[in-house]
Amino acid sequence: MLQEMPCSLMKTLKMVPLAAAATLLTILSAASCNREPEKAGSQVQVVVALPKWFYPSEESPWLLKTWEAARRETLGVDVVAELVPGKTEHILQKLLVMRASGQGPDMACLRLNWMPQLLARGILKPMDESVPESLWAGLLPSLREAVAQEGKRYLLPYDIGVRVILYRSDLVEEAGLPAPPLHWSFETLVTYAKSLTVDRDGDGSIDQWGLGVPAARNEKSYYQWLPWFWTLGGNGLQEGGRAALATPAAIRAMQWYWDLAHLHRVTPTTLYSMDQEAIFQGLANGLFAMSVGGSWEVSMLKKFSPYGAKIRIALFPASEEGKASVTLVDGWGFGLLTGEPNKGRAVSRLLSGLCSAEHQVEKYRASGVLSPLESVYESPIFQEDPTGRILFEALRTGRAPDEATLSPAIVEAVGAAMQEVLMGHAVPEQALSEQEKRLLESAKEG
Amino acid sequence: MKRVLTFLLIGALTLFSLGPILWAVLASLKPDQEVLRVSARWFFGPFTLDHHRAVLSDLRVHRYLANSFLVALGSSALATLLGAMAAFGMGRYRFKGRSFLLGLVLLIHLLPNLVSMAALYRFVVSLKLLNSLVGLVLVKGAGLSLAIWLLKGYFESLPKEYEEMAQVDGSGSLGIFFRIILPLRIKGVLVTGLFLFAQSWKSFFLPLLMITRVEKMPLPLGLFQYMGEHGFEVGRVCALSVISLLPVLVLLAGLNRLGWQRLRPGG
Repeated sequence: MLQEMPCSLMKTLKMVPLAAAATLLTILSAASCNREPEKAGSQVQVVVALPKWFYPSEESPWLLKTWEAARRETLGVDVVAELVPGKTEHILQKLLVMRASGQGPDMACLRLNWMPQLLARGILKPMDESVPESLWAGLLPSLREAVAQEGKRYLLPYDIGVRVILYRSDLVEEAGLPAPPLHWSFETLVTYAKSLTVDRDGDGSIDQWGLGVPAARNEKSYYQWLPWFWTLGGNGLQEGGRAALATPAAIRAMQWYWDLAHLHRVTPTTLYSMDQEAIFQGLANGLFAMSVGGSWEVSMLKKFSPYGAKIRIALFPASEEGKASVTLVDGWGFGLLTGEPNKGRAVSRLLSGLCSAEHQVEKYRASGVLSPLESVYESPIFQEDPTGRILFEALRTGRAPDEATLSPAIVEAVGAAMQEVLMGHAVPEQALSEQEKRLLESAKEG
Repeated sequence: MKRVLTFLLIGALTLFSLGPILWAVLASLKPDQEVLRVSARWFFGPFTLDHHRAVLSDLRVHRYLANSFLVALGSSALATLLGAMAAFGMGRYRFKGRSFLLGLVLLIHLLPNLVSMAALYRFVVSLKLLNSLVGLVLVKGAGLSLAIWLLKGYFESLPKEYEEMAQVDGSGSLGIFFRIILPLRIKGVLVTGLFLFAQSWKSFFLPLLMITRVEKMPLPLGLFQYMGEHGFEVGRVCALSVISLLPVLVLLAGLNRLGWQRLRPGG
């Protein structure tokens, strides 16, 4: 059979090992040209891991300026910014792998929500000595509590967001409604949503829904559900370390979702399949006139939606007239991962720069992302802008989730109960009680 | 009737698998504010090459492509060569511990990525291979398990007589492998190489772990330069994704042109 192969082909094939070795050598040597020499010197090196959106580069001059100033002014310390590409979950995965191997950066920019699990794994170190007391004192009250545990502070918030109601001002006007008032109630929200639920082409089916609410079974939907739960008087979903899901507030908050779809008919009955991205897209393409979303979505909608210029925000409504709403505040902050005190102190100048009012105002101007500092909201940029005032009001009355609310088991259980309810398999009390029972049983076994 | 049903089923499956690619191609050709629109107009409406132009004029993208190419070609060549040799040894020779070794290779392949990553990361750090494309080539190239399992059976199916004849002619094991087995089974080896190339080309988590510098990033990491915390530049990400498909397609077409059909297995 060997003889059947064409002679020229045989010759070519004999060259395969040689060609493979040559290719390999070429590639390895080309790749090795990219290697950078090791830095020498006796400086203390502090490596700070940053997601792309906080990485100092020419795309974010306000950040680059502060970063460079801090590096210049911190003598004897080489502060190295290390980029962690990828999405939010990739950053956590990478960090966990690095710490599991006993390696990794000295400091990192982390989601505030990760604090309980990072503390449980012993990854976060206290930051009290790395940050001047004035900075801690200047944080929004809800954040001051969220970053502390047993008297020690573990994350310095840098960049935050708040959940709001986003709406299309042109559709509100078209429906003959005034802009939503600063303080409004569930009832008023439903009135608006009903007027904005329209069969535009007259074919008998709704093609513009009044309100989009994410209720797919995932963490993001859970976070969007928390403001309703808190506003209805809920506090935690645990009591004395035990799951307590079937509370009156949780039952009412879950019933509220059902009512939106089946009683008020202002949102699709398939909301259980809609995640945050679907709701965002729905508002962007005109499927929803209002939606629950994050303050950061406004700038994205301006860019990606043909109706972007018409997007406005309103506060989360209160359960009744005269009561206050409680929305969710979360975001990113710097956390210390090294136990070496000299490294902790070395980043003090950098953190002071990043969390200075001047830097934070500049960041808001450039990116529209909110500041964790209370004093920033006294600046004209917020005081003179109606949107700025709404955002400050939301931040003032909002809260950050605590350890009990962030437990992955609770998040999963609430998600499962919500699916049961919205698919019509159970009423809220039954679904929440079953999940509560399941959690208690597994806690007993575990 | 059966034929029609079969065609319909195949058509539906093809549409289902090509759907996301078609969406990415169309989205890469839509202006930003049209990408999220839901209507029939989406398929016909205004098209633009702006995203492709923007991506191709971004010098970082050239770097990502070059890095990806180096890593994919280097690691697939290394893994294919070493994997083929290992597969030949394990497939053609009987020795003590052979089954255990084969089982171990399979076990390593089945191990969840995250489990082995911590140890691998420590290893990479101790060898100072972080932010090194050589490191990435070596680590990816050391993933031989797939090549071994793909090629072992392929080599085993070749009649023993070829080796025996070569042995009579005085060839050693390496000679038999390079002069007899490899030419006779080159098609399978090339397919395995191509498969490993494609795998390395889209590899994400290992580069995520090993690379932090923009100038060293391969394409899958580079894509994230167009993404923010809460969203991404849909058009540009889709344009870059479409562009990233091209090298694999070109490679396939090239192999075809180089006489793919003539490389029939012998024996």
